[in-house]
Amino acid sequence: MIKILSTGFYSSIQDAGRFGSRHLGVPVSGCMDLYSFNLANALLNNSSDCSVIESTFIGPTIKFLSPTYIAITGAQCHLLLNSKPIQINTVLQICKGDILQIGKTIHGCRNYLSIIDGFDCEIILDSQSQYNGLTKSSTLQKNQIIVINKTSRTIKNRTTVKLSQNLFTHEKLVAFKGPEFCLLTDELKHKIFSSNFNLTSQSNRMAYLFKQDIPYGINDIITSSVQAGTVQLTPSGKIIILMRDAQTTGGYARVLQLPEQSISQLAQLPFNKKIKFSLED
Amino acid sequence: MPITILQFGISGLLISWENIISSKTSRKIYHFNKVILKVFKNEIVDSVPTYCSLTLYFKQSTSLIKLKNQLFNIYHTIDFSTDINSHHWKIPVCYHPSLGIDLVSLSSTLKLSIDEIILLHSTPLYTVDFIGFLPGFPYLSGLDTQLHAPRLSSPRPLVKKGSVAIGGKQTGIYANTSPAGWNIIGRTRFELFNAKDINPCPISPMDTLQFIPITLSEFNTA
Repeated sequence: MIKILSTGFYSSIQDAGRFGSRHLGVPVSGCMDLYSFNLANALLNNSSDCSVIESTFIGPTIKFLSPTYIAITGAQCHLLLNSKPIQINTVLQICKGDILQIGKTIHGCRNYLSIIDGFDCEIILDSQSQYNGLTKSSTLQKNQIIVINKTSRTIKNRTTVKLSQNLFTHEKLVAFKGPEFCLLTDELKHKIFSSNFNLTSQSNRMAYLFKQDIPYGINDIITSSVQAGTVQLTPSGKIIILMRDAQTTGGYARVLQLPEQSISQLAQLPFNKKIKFSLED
Repeated sequence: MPITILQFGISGLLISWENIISSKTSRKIYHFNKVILKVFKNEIVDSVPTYCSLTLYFKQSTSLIKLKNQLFNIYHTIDFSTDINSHHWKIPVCYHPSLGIDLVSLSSTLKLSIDEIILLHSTPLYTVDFIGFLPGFPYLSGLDTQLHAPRLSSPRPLVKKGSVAIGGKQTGIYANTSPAGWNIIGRTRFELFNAKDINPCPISPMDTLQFIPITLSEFNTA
């Protein structure tokens, strides 16, 4: 078991996502940066759907009530185990009573804490991902006790992965055409692909909003499906990128669709930083 | 009009019909979806029907190009006249101004008395076109044109669970406490979504639905 001593800025249990219920209006959710999530589980030889703790900007402080193995991936950040600095992207052996602090992020903004064979949290509609209205709460709570899945597994070969810092500083965001791309005028296309877009602090796990508007947008569509990575253009010229907690349907024109890699890249984009769309066929 | 099939996202196919809201299209989408879910039950992760589209999300290992042709072929073999086994729902709604917080302002916007609004809203037999947006939110068609009303100029950050509302040409029920930009005209205690039930959302596409006016004291004792 682990105990949450402090929750950090915004921390929640997430897994690969909640599938099979989108026809009931249930969002997929799951880890914002699936790349770092997969790495966190891979380091521990976990199955790819084990749940992890996702933290944002400032991570939680955690006391381990039993020995285990963990890995932390994602943003470059201040990490302390029993007040001593530790490495990111490696396997850590944990003793009973150890205290882990996931501190402020330096490059990127989200961290992933995996644990050997995953956490044992409530499963709602086949997923442990916390989501308002479905799970008991939408974030970790102070003093919360989280159960770890029982395992007899140990880890002998401790892998460490070195990642390039560029992963978190890319400005170019690869995008494909969305269903309504064909409705864009040449002028709008030019604006979208030549402008920089800075992320605003109103952005969250559901949607990312940007400071810059383009001069005009395009008409609403008849409500149709949307998903993580859908780039919407509103009639007034606002750009919205839907993220993992995206609603299942929406009425704004879907002008671009981001590939998985771009969604994970955006998940690590701090507020005020800019991106530039790059169209690929 | 023929359907179009377009890749949408890494593992999605967006099937589109003519860009209009019609019961004929809704029926076609319903039948097509039902057949597809049977034929591809091992490949499909999610399927999302809407007014004039059906989005199929497949497992990532599925070859979408091969599927596209199969989908066209299957579409042309479907009998769209097959009966739909739909359910009829009676939703008790209290239209008291203390719960329907926009009733008074809507009455002056629409130049209708509150009683007229209640009568016009509770008379039609609505069709559930699909469930979308947030868990359990039913998209209904059949709202009387006299009740078409603009959305609020800025959405409320939170409305109560069970709020019955009108937005543009649509009416719906907020299944949970959520932000909302529609005019709230009443409230129901009917449970639209319960994640812990085997069937979390009892209302399904193609079901019919009627609002039954109840008094404030009936609402409070329900």
